[in-house]
Amino acid sequence: MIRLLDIQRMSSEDGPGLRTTAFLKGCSLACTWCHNPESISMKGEVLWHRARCMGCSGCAEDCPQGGISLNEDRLTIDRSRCLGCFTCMRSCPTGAIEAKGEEISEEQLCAELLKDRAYFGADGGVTLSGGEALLQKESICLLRMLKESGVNTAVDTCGQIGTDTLREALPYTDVLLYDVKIADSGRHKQFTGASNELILKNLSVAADWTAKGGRLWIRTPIIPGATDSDENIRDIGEILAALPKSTETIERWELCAFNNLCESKYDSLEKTWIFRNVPLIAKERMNTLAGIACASGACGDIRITGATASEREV
Amino acid sequence: MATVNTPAKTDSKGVKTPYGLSPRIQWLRDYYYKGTSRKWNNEWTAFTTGEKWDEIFDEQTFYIVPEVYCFLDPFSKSFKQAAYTIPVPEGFWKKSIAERRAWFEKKAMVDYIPQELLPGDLLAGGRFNLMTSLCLTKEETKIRAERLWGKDGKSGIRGDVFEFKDKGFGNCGATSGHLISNYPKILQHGWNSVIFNIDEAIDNLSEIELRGERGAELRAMKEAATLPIELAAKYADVIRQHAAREADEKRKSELIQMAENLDVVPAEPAVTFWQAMQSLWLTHMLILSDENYPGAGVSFGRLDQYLYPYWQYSIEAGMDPEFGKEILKCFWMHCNYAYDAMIQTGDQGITAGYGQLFNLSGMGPDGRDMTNDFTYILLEVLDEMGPILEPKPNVRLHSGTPEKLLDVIVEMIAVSQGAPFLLNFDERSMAGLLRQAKLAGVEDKINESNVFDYASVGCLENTMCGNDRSSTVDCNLNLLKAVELVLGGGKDLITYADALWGKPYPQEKDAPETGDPRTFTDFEQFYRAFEIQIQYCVKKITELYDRSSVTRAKFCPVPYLSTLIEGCIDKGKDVTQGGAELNFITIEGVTFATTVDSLLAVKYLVFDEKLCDMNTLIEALKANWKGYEKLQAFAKNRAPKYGRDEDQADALADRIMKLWADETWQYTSAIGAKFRPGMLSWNYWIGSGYIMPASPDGREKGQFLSNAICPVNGTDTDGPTANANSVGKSLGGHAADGDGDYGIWNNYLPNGASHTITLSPALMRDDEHKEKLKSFLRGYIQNGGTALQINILDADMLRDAQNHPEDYRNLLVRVTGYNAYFTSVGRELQDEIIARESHNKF
Repeated sequence: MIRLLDIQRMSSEDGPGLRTTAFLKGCSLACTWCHNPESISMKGEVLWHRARCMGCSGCAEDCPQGGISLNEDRLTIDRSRCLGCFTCMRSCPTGAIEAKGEEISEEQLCAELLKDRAYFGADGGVTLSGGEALLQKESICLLRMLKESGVNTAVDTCGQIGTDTLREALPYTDVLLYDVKIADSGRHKQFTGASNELILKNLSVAADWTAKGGRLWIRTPIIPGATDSDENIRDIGEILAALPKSTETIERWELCAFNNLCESKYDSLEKTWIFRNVPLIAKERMNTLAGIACASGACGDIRITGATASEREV
Repeated sequence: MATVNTPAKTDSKGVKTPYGLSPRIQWLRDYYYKGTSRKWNNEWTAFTTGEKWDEIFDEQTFYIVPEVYCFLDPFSKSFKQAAYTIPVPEGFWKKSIAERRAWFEKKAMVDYIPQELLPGDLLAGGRFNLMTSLCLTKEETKIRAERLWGKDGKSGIRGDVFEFKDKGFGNCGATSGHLISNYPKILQHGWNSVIFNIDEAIDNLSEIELRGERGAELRAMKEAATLPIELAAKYADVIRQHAAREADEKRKSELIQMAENLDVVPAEPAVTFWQAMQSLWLTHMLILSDENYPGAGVSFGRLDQYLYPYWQYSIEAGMDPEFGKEILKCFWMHCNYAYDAMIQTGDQGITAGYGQLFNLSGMGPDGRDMTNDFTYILLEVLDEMGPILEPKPNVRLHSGTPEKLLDVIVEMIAVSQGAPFLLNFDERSMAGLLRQAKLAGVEDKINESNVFDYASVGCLENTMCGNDRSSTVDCNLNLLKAVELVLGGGKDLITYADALWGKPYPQEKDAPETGDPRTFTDFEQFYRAFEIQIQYCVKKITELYDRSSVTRAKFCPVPYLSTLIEGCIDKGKDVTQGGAELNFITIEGVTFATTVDSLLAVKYLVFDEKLCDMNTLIEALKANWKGYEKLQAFAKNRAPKYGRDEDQADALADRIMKLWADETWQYTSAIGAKFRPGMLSWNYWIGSGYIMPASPDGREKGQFLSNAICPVNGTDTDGPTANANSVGKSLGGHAADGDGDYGIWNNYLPNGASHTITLSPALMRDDEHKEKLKSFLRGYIQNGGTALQINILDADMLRDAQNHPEDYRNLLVRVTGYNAYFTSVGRELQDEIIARESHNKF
């Protein structure tokens, strides 16, 4: 069984072509800026969306743990008592309570992910993302099933996984979207909870795999105050450039601009987010960083993705 | 297609603007958009026989336009008051109605309507909006009046049509247009050959037949067939006078060429491209005159196929392609003058719903792709002229569509606010037409060897070309009414009232009693009752429609149009009487998704989850959900929905689709036309939403119903691909054994089904993303429906347009495949379009 966070169909941003992306629950890192805070814990969790709630208190009445209370217009969930049974979600008439991490069999999930195969075309396919896509070992089985059915597979990984696991996954993977966030190991630990040694080790395994036809895309989130210094991008560039024949092994390097659309997710989890009210990065700044990345000579195709301050959020 | 140095295609607000127009075309286009301040217009001109009983306006053509019901009497009276009298010749009243009409129509067009030419115009044929006397005798007028209004002036077909609409069943009436005439016949052989064919048919009649209806109809057709020839001669004279006065040498030579073209066409076969366009325009515009209704789905068919040889000929003979495009752009402007009919009611006339459609590209024999150079020329013209309302293109896609065509299309979608064309999908469409051929026993006329030559009329309704009258918009049935009748045990759930006077109608008494739903113990029982009520609703609309159709057949022949629809000359029968080789009447199913979701909700609320009993649900609906908000929220948010690619929900959609589609095939009209199913909701899904009571899917009275085959707004939470997969499945999906109606494809709806989706502009932001949009379209060919309208609208822009309409005069949106300027549609619909843009809102 796989703990599933979400499925996004007709995704245009998770690898080449048009794709269906499965987000799996649980992450081996806990980045302070995480855009999907509901993905970090391996446990089932519920989100409460204030705007959808009609205040009927059905969830509070039905919770077998008595862990939910409704006070005026605020729902309080005692998450220490939550079993992840999702009774509250089923009691909710409006969808204000959303369940994250329901279990689904690999076969069922595979069938669900293949529903759009007519739209994948030559380049598109299925992407496994997370959380950390490879943290649940069933994901390898899922990848194999997808590969056997003939679709293109992509894995979006933070790299913080056992090297053996990565080696197991790669034969069933066509595209690897590989995060390299911070070059300095100490700062990496400070912002993500882990040093980057394993990530960099696995990066060279991934780079070797490209010789067998794998496509490697590097992604660096550009987060104000965390990853957005000139130095960090220069250093990541050096690391990448040090890979053998990096301009051939790395097909593209994406700099993903910070976005603040996830603020409400932290609210729904009753968590605080240190990046609240942090503005978007200016387009000019992204261009500067792209210039630095380019100068490293690590990769011939540097891209900027995500919303920047000079653009309207669509 | 974008070339270097082309002017900006969008204005400072990002709204698509015309570009690359010559001074001639720029002037003609600007002049047209002056609207009511123009000196010249093509407003309806009315003509009467002068008899005091004379009737001019056939209100039946407007029975499918509920918003004008209150204007029917004023229309009728004002036309009579404004009409010029044309004295009729001796012996006129002894002739058949068809012969009288043909004579009267020709007289008005040739001798009363002035022949005029706008400056720079390259095509003759100005005024065509006529409102001509029905040419009925006093006795005929009386019989017709009794049928329409009853002896008391209140009952009759009109009263029943109004009641049908007011009680939420839908609407119906014999309306005009919505077919594709055999234009290639005129281009290739000319009107003289049509006259020859009619003469032959007359020669083959026996003495008795000659004195009977067939003889009369053929004589009327012959009279009508001389109209375009005589009119062309008049225009040639007028243009020669222009030429004589013209100082500019270049223009003078153009005018002389135009006159010389008119010496040849449309009487004789066209040789050059210019002649072909002239022949096409005159022939086409006279259909609009003949039917006294401008542009109502009078469609051109596969324009890029049958005009291509003329284009090739003229290009090889040295015509500058840019000049060829100038001719096309003049043709574009002429088509738009249809809207002048009611110009005094506003710049666009009373409705923007005219659909002079043409198809581009598509399949040929053996699955071959038929895209040619001229396909791209037509798309260029459209792009340079746009935004513009007429004529409306419909691009046919299929598995073999070339990359280049998809590139051009995606580029055009990217710069427009909504795709400036509808996309039609060949495999699914052809599956529907082949299924129709089998069910109606017309496989000799529609089969694997010719079905690829289908085309669409009006908005997206699939028909064959040149021999097919499928009356595609004549019957519009709210499927949801059947759900209401089940819940009421055969009675209305609420009291309905006359929309004009507010007088309550008596309870529905003819519907079958399907038992008290409170006693139903499982969903299957509910569904069986639904089947019976669907049967009742379908039967009711066919019977009501038939009365209208028979009345039109008797009193409103269209001999000119009949000459252009194959079968009519052979049978000596008017197209209104079933003369066409292929005769169908389409019932357009409205409120499909609301109906499916309502049944899903009944199953979920009452039988599966037991959140309430049937009595509570009925009480909640009667109370418009007031006091039942929690139950309503469950119905809206938690009950399964069609449109999410969920197999169980979609299986019910398929079951309902098959049910009502099969039911329509049970009926044949009095003129011998079989009823067939389709899904187009025009704007009824909005209007009926204010009439019909709350529905079990959580909808309140006053909220819109679902549009055509689209999921209920806001319910397609899984995105466009899931939405499209549901649509494809509801049409029958793919055959499990691979042997579908056509290839693997099944399709219950030969008419096709309107599907609109809105995509995020993010999908077109660069070439890489445009490739992704192309993948989506390739996928839609496999999995989706018959026709797709893509809108690319962002909500901010629309809100700004609501608040500053003056800045957005050009903002064109398409709703169910008809164009409308955003600023000219009603506030509710504007809000609706905005709501659809902001996803995940219910």
